[in-house]
Amino acid sequence: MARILTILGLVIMVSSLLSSPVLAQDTDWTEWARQAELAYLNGDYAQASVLYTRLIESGVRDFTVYYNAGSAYYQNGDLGLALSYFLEAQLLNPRSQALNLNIARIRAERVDYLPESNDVVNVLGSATITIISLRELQIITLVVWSFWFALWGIFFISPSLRLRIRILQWVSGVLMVLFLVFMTTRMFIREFRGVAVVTSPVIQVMSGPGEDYLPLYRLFSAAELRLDDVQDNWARFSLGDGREGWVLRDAINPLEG
Amino acid sequence: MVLVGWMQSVNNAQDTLQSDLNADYFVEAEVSNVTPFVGEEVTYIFRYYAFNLTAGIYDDLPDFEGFWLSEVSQLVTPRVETINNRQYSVMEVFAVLSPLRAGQLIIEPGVLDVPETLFDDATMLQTNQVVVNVQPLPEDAPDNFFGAVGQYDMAVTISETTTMIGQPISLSVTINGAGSLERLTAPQLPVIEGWRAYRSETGYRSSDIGGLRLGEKTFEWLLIPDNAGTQVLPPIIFSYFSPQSQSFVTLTGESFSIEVFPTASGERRSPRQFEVEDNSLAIFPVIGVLRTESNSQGILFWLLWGIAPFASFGIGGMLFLRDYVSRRNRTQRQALAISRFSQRLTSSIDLPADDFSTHAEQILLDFVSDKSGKSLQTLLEAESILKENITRDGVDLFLRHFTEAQSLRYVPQDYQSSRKLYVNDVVDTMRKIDRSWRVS
Repeated sequence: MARILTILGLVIMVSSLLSSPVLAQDTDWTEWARQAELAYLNGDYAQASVLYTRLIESGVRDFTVYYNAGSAYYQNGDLGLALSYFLEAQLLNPRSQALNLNIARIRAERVDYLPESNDVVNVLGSATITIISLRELQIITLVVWSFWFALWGIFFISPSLRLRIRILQWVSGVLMVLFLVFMTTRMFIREFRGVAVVTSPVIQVMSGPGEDYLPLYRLFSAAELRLDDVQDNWARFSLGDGREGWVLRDAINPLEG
Repeated sequence: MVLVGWMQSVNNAQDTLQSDLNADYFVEAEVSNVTPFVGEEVTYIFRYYAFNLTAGIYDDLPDFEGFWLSEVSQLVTPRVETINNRQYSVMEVFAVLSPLRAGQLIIEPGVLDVPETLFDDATMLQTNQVVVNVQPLPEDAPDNFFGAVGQYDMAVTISETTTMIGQPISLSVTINGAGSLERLTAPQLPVIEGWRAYRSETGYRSSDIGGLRLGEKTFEWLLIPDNAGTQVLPPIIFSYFSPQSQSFVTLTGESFSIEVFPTASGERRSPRQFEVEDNSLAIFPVIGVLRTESNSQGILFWLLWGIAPFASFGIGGMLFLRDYVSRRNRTQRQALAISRFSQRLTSSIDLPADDFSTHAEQILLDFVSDKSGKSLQTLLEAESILKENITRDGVDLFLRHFTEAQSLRYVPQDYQSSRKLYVNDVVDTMRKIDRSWRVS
């Protein structure tokens, strides 16, 4: 048993090492971050937004930077970009209370009322979004997965322990299925039904990918869409209430996560 | 549902009929309007004429590329039409469409399969292609136009004219008329200062009256007042394009005056979910290194997933293989036990008396070991195994032969005949034991 626990420990350690972020230190980045912070504290939100955006565009994927960029855009009155950066920050640190409060604030303030979609994949994929990040979920699922298979190893090696580990096998099996479902639905949504946020103050939704199609309705800044398809400069999307349409790709900001 | 009448035939049906004058069955297709505006509803009709009541299977609707397909229906019972003194049964399928863009749109031919009968082979009938020239909407669309094309009416109602702070009232907008109501989106709710608005239910129903498709769509909002006092809800404005008058029409709903009372505790202003004064968001200071992590895991992480199942089922597989090989060997040893016994005992007949005796004892024990698949060292162990697998008489015979083997130690080597007798006797006995061994 001790040997198996050691192996499990090693697996967890290796997976943690493999999944640990690449750390980068750049003096420019630190300077930009300092300047952005100063600009924000002095009430120059436009300058702060520009500097935080520059950091993000240069490759920084940091919760604090995303969060601060969201705050700067919010103060600047740009709900769309603010929500977009807050949602990016949420993918990295979903348990931040301040962040979740700001997201709720923007959803309450935006013009469009957009209920969450009721389809099973969306419900399952969204269930863990404010609890655990996808990376954490993947590591925990791997641990439970490995533990379940380790129990099968014990089952094969030691017939005398079979009865004793039966309950553990069931519990870990159920947990594994549960985590696998949550993980795969989130990965599916990320890959095939990515979220995008409307960043233009108002956009006209068309019935097809072009200006000559029928105009359907309008969406306002900070509306959240699920992207279904992209054709040239047009993106097909669906909303939680079932509405669909096409919008100009430049008017929305797809989340990178 | 049955749709009849009000057709502006595109392809002259009579022309088609002339060309198929003597045909027993033929098909045709047309649309109710070949020059509709973008978004205007048109009906596509597929007709199947059959002189005899030959059954046809409607194969597939055309693609209707460039159109929005709202509904498909067909005649419940065929109608009868006389053409050149021949009575035809006419089946009709209707598809309600709205063009999505201006310009020339082509509806590909519809296909109908006529199955084989006693008198005719199976046939596939194909309609003509239908060309629709869609007109663009005029440029001067009003601000409140969101794509509605048709002939509409609007009614706006509210559930209460008095309410309290935080108590919602329901605002309902019903749009009815002819047009693509199914696709109709909600009119823009004007910004109402001091109120929070939430979209609620949307209902839609349609019916056909005299061949005209009429419908009704209802949009509802919940409006929650934040301030006390008499407040006026601005009118809802809805614009649509009327193909009949070829112009935009704007409908303006009623304006409502609502009396909002303070809360039970006397407050005249509701604390909103987020106070406007609370806008100063705090930011987090950037300390230490900035991360550049991607949200995707690397390939090595996914390779780790294979380790546990590989190790677990690898061990399981190896154990299974080991067990299988062991069982196969045991079966082989069991099958060959008697021949091995006989061969070994016969070949040791020329050994010195002492050796022969020791040899014979070991060979007897080995026989039991081979048969049972268990390793054993003593006679006691052999006896215990024998008791489980053969009769009491068999066990006694075995013990007797074992004792004889021990006593042969004292018989001079010259007495080969007694040793041969012993070998023959014991081989014979062991054959009987082998045959009577219980199969486990």
